[in-house]
Amino acid sequence: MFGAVVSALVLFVLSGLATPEPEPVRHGLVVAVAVLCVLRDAGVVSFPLPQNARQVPQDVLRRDVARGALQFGFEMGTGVRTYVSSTVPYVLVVALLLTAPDAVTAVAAGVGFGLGRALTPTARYASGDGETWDAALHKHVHGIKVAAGLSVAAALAFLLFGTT
Amino acid sequence: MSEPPAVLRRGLTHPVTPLVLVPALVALVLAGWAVAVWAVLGGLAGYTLSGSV
Repeated sequence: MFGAVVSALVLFVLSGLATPEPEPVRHGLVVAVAVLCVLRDAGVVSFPLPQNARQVPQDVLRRDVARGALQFGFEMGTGVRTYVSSTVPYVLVVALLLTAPDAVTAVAAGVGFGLGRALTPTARYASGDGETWDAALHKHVHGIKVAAGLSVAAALAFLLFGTT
Repeated sequence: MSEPPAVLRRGLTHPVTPLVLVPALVALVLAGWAVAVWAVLGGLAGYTLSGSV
């Protein structure tokens, strides 16, 4: 979670670079990107997205389990030391960069991201049958991505255009 | 290994839990619903990475 908050705060700082552009333009771009990303996750369009595509090396856990687990969680939480298999995190990055929210909002998004990532191993463990849970995830992961992308696009459209 | 409900109960009743949850809830209420929506957006983005390592 700490890693995700750090990433969110970096985006918050960088978002200042986008503020010279008019707000309606920036907000319109965010919603357009969100819709495009839903289409990508749905398989309607295809285009590459930048990613590090590298796991945190396993040896960080071998040296010292407690410290290694913290390092593993931090690096994975930043979202730049992992495989990004969904387009939705990119929408969040673009939204944070172009809407220039306040620091509290950026931290909230980072905490949410960390909790969302932690939900997977927590739910898997709570299911009591990891292999069955993995199979169910594999079966539904496409629908999860599309549904989450649609929800994010709708929420951003409402946040950026519905409340003004 | 403890059963999940036991783990959940132990976590929710841990003496430190209110120190984390109460300030978080107060901060969320003070910050407003829009901030909570951003947290949910972040959560959805994180959850879609299920299965990614």
